[in-house]
Amino acid sequence: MQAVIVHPGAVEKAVRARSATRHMKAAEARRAILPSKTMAPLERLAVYQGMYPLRMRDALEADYPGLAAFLGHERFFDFVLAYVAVHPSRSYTFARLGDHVPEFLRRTRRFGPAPFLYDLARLERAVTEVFEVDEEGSERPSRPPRHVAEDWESRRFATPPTLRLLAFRHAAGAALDALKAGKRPETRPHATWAALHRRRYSVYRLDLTREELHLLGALAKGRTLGAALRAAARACGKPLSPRAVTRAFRIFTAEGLLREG
Amino acid sequence: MGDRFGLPDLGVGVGLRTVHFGHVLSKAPEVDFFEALTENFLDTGGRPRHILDRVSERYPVVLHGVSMSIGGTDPLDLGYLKKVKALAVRTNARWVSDHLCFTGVSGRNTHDLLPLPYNEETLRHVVSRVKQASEVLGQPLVLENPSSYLEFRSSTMSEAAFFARLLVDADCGMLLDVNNVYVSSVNHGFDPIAYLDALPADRVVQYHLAGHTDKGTHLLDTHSAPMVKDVWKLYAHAIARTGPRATLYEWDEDIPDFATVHGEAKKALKYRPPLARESRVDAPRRAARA
Repeated sequence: MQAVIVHPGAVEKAVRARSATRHMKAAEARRAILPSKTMAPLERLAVYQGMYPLRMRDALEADYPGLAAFLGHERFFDFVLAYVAVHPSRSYTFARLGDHVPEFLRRTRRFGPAPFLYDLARLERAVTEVFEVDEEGSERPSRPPRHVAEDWESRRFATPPTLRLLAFRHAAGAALDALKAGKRPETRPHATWAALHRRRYSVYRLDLTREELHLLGALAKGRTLGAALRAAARACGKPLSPRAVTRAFRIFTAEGLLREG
Repeated sequence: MGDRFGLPDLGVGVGLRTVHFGHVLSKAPEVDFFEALTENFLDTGGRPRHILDRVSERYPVVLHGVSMSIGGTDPLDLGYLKKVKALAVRTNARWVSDHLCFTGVSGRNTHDLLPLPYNEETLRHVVSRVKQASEVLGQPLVLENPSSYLEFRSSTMSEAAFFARLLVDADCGMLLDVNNVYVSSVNHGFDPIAYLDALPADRVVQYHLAGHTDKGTHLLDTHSAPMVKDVWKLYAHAIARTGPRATLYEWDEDIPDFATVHGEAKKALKYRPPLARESRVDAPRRAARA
């Protein structure tokens, strides 16, 4: 029954598909189901088959609204059918269904500019992850960082457990904003960086510079400020300017991304 | 007549739906109880769990799941069941329910409530699994009759007869969905009153009410509209047999505002008494989160 229900073709084709006939011949499948006064056996089975892709579509659209908007109704449905054929749900929750969407889009290339779609899907996946992160039990220092001139190099900071740092080859954040506004996004390559975090149960995206991403990433790993600045300089190929560091800290502190470590 | 498990009549409730979260928290509507969809709250640490925590501090809650696959051939997911139990403890859920169905095989989940053949072999199989699940949960499982769109030639008994025997042999409770009885009765051509009369009244713990959609050749359980008169008649017949039981209105598609859904639920008060003040089951007070 399952093999028929998840088959994308018409029910008559589905019962003859190898995935179904290895369990039961098509003729046996017809005999196994009673007809009703109004429907033949396979028509009754087709009721379940018809609902399956719609449920999958609704679940994936909930987690990837930007992707759904970019592809449009028909192409998104085609994407859903292709995706769940390769990555069917294996969890008790729909929340795991879309786990492989970014990688699927990167490899598949059927549905549009793959590198752009990969970035867009990664961003949307990260938004969902940040929304769901369990902060319970994690100790979170409440004090913002103090301004202390001495021993600044050895200072450490705490970052929220909901923090996610992302690097893109496209303006994924701007693209998602455009799609939500019903506009066509820019899909040409353009490196961008972002931090996602959650505050009072809402997810926020902070667009960063490359230097800010690497600095915040090193701090989030527990490095001292001195080590974090050196790590960011290595990653970017040059030291961060004092102005850039000051700007970074002002932004991080305003967003509540840094606390006393 | 009370149910055989001594579970409380929780009155008339509604499902806890995302679109109503803000209203429920800010307006604190006078609702007898809420039903939470189990899988929506198992793995989330964010807003949904926060909402459920706040709701369960103020209102009685029951958990209703869709992924237990109690009729399936894959082993029961003990990890899932333990999470369900933990959520039930966290929310002081009065009972945990799921459906008489299977949802998939070989590790897959179709996220649909797929029908079972009703025969002795299936009965033995499901009884064993219900007992196992109840043991993990630490309380009798409550099972709902699903709406169905096909029947198997290998069935040797009616769904009602199967359910009646299952309830006794597995010592579990029933969530009687009268809309599902109606939908299935039209789709399969059986007498819905006879179905209701075949069930042990003292095993019914809760009712579901809902709307459906007429597709011409069959009815589809869509939970997307007010309940039709014929189904209200079934509810009246059923509740006259069982006595007052927790009654919940399900509205899951094109969900209107909270007042509309609650208004539809309160139509049940034509057929059952309102919850008496002295019977009102208050959620226990718990220490506020630091």
